[in-house]
Amino acid sequence: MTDLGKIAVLLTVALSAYSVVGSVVGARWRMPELVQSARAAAYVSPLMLAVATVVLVAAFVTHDFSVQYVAENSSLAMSTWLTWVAFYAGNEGSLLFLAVIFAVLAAAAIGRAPKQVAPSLPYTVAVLSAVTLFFSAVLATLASPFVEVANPQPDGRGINPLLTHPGMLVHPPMLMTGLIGVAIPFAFAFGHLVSGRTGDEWVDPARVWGLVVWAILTIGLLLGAWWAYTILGWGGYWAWDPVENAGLLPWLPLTAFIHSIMVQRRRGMFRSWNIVLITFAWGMAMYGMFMNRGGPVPSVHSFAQSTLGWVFLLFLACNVVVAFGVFFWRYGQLRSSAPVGSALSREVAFLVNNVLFLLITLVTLWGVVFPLVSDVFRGVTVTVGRPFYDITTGPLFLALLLLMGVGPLIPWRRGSPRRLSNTLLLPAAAAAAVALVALVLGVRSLFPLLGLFACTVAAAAILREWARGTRVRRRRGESYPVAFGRLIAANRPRYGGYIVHLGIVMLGFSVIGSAFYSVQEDVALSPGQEATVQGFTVQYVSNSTEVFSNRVEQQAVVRALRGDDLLRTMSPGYVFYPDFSLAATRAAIRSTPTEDLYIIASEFSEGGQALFRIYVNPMVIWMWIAGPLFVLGTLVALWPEKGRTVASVMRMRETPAEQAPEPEGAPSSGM
Amino acid sequence: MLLLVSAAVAACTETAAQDDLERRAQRLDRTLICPLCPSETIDQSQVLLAAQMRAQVRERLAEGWSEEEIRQYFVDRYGERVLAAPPKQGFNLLAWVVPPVIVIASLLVLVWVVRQMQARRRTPQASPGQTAEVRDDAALRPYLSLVDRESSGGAEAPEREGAS
Repeated sequence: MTDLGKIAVLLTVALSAYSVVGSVVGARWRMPELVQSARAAAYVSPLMLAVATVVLVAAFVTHDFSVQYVAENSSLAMSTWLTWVAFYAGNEGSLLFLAVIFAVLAAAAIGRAPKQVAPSLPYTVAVLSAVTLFFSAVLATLASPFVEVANPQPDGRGINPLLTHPGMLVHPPMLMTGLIGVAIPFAFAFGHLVSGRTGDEWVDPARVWGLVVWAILTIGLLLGAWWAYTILGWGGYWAWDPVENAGLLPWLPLTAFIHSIMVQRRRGMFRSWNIVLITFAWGMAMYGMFMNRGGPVPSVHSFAQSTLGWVFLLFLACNVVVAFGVFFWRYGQLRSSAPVGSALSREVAFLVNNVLFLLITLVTLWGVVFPLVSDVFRGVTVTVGRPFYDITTGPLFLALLLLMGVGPLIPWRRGSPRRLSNTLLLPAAAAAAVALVALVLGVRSLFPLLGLFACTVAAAAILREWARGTRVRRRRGESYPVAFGRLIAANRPRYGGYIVHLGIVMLGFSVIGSAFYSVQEDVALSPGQEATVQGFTVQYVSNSTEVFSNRVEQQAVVRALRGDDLLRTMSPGYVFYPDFSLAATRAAIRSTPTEDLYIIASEFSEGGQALFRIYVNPMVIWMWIAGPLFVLGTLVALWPEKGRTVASVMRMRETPAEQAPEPEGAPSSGM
Repeated sequence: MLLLVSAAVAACTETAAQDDLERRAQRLDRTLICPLCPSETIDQSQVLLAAQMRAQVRERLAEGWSEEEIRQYFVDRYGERVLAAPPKQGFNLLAWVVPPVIVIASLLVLVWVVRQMQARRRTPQASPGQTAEVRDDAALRPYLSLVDRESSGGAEAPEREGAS
């Protein structure tokens, strides 16, 4: 069976290599048949990789421990659902997962590419196939999951127990898909650049794929936060861990990109800037994948460690060098077509947004790199952790929140300060009122006050705009729900964005509440004793111990009361895995809109005494509620608008074409 | 949304700012890295050493040590990497100086770029773009007029409703 997997991977190497060469040669020397067949090869690669994946999954499900990778990453004691997904828990399998998911996405992107990008599509195919080639080549040589062992053991080693969490079903695949997916908008940008075309045709597919990948990456990050919150047992969701940062680093420039691409779509500006942004995002995504396999900085995520990191680093370096080489070679084609009317314009607001996102990226990157700098120049290892990031990125995030409230209210080209201040009056008044109430009620620190203010401005500005738009339509005889629906349908990118922004507001409130006002209490309790935290009383009732073949589970039963009312009986647990000498907590969480009561128990002793850590974490639930809003908003923004491509928007912009500022810069509207 | 905002305000005000020993200890816990489990603070980590360090932190705070002295004590034993963020002195100052420098430099570049973008508008070859812009407005007129109507039309009512 493993031979089939090996052959499938080798065929992928051959197919994707052919696809790269065929696309470039065919496009350069105008051989349509060759281009066609190179494209067909890119459609077959995902099938081959799917075969390899099926072989590997089958080996897991049938417990074929003659395969080394299966023996190292599974065991007979594993539950059935886990064997189906365990194949991506280790290094080799996660590479195969990356390869197959990427090949599928790439085939979809090529197949669904709009006609307008046809001239540059061969180069896009070449870039996409080059990425598939890299992964399949690594799978065929350095990190094959299909290596067999001479004398198989009857049972395998099992999976890292921290990964046996339902969140693991979705968090790693989403994050991996999000990281590798950044290559797709990059490929459209790069293909366009290499082909030497001067229009903005690439913007449509790049925007669509950028949004799709953004949503996937966002949900992946949120699921990671959820996993950390429920299983790592320290009451938090984000620790600025180096690998968490590796997921955040591509997310930031990608977020900047999906904003600034709108400026190119609507105004034909930021042409070179957008290409720089997406190249940077792809570089960061490669860095993220590099960090996950033997990167230089230690982390709780180093479950897929290997020396492969350096191969990834090399791949990253090649990509960046080639990308920027081509960028400077083709720089002349990238002049922006339109000037900006005033510093108070949507264009400039988007630019400020981009700068803020990039600043957070650079500062975070500096935090990640600094330990290496210190190691090289001083020979001393230092840690750059949460206190650093809180101080350095906090104000930047706050500025972004404020901009999120104000930016969408500023019109394109030239805004009038008077009209803007009129529109802002109500949101700002509401936000000031909220901040004032908080101040009166005893919030004395500056940052939470500013955060509350910024979040409220953004929320109120969005709601105000919805209310107004709906009312205007209502006056034309539509009922409220119809009016609201049509309002959103009329400008989906804008209103989809607003929905996402509302999600960000929720996230903002949640972070402010939980970062500044979480309360923690560590107590040792014997059965029958109780502790009180923030008005909650936690009574320790009893405990139980169960021994399984691969783990020992201990569980406490506690009653949570508020005053004399029983809120819920909760059971925080503690699981010890002797094979890994690793312990995991199972937090018991009671969530309400205002706060989470979060209990973990550990160090059970003979008499039943246990160590309890009780947190009251304000607002955390809103973070998880924001997730569906991100998806919904992205879907609304993506939903195809009939005939509204960059070409049509441009035609509106450039009529009559001969008067366009740059004669050759005007996009051929027939595309 | 109203619920969300009021919940947020409530959450922020609920906590009395009690600054007892335990709170100080917890803050200190979060600035110290467990030497055994890279990139986890002793507050997060569940290994024995972290528990011992937490106990030491409380003991010494009770004895009247300052937070700085306690941090230094752990640095002497485990090296600088035990601090969750580099101290703001010596070579490590670099870690703290670079971010504000990047921020200031970027803002200067931003101002320059925006000036350039506006200047381009006034150069001769850009002037045809002016007319194109005007026509562009004409093409977008249905939308723009809707926007205008929206922002002037509903001016009286929403103020009251939104403020409630």
